[in-house]
Amino acid sequence: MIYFHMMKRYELYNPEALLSMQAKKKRAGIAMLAVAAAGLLACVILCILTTRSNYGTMLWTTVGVSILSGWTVIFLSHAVYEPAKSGVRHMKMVEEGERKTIRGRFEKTNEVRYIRHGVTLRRVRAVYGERAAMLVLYEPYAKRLPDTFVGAVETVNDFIVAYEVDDND
Amino acid sequence: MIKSLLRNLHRYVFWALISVMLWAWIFTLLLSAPEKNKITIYADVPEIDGNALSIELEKDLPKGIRLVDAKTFNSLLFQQYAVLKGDLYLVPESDAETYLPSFLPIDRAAFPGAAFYESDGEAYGIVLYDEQAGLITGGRYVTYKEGERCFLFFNKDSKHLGAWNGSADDAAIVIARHFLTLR
Repeated sequence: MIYFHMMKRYELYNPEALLSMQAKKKRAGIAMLAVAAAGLLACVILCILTTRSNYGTMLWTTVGVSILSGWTVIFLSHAVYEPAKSGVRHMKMVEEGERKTIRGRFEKTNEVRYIRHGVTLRRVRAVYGERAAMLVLYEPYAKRLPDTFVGAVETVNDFIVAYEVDDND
Repeated sequence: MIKSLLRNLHRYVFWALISVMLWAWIFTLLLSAPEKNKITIYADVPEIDGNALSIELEKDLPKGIRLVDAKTFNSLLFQQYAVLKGDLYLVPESDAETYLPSFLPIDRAAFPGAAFYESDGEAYGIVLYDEQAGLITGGRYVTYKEGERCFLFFNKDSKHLGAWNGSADDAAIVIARHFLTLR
C-alpha cells in the first residue's frame, strides 16, 4: 500500500505582525505620555487655583487626579506597553534566531507561564521517536496551533515558529 | 486582565501612597511664606479656628504680606522653638507674666479705647477677652478659657512692628487692629 503524504506548512510569525506590534508599542507609549502630561497639567492648574478657603477640597481633588492618571499610566504600561515591547523583542529574536526542525507528535498543554517583562508562553509536549520534550509557544499565538497533531515544527530557542500538519494523520 | 492587575497591585498601592505624600507636601508649601511675607499668630487658648481666622484677616492684607498663619501653641508639638518666631500672641492672664520678657511694650495711642495689660507702668497687651466686662474679641474664631482674661501681645523680635522696634513694616500692628474689630 502506498501512502501519499501531503504536508501543509503554517508560519506563526510574519513581518506584518512585528510592524503591527511596534506600532502598538508606539501608540501605547504616546497614550501613556499624554495621560501623564494631562494629569500633571490638571494638578498644576488645581494648585494655582488653591486658596486657603478651598484648600482641603483642592488637595484631595489633586490627589484624586494624580492617583487616577497614575493608575491609568500603570495600567497602560503593564496591559499594553510592556507586552508590546516584549512582543517586539520576542519577534526580533524569532526573526533573527536559527531555526531547527523537529518531526513527531505534538500536544498543546494548558500550562501557561508568565516570564518577566510581559512574555507569556504555553508549553507544548513533543514526542519524536523515543524521545519527549517540552517546547513553548508564544501565548498570543496559542490558538493558531492545533491542540494535537502529527507533523513537524520549526523552533527558535524552543519557541515554535512554524508547523506542518500531516494530512494523513 | 485580573491576573495582570493583581500582579501589578504593588505599583498601584505605591503610586497612591506617593501621590498622597507628594501633594500633601506641595500643598503645605502653597500655604507657606517666608517670615518677612507673613504674620504669625500663636494662641495659648483652648481652641482656635485658625483657618477661618486666617481667611478673615487675609481679606485686607498690608502690602508685602502674603498670608496670616494662626495656630495654637499645642499645634507646634516637636518644634516649640518656632513659637519664638511669632508676631502676635494670644495669652491668658495666668501665663502672661511668664512670657512677658518676650513681649514688646506698646504705644497706647496706637489703640485708642482699648484696655491694656500693664506691668511696671507700661502697657504690654491689649485685652481681648474679659468675661466681667462682657468683652469677647473674635469669639467666632477663638474659644477663650472661661473666667480668665486674655490679651494680645506683640513679639519684641517681630519683623513687622514698624517704628516700635525698628522693623521695615508695621503689618503686625495693622493685622492686630483688624483682629480687634472682630466680634
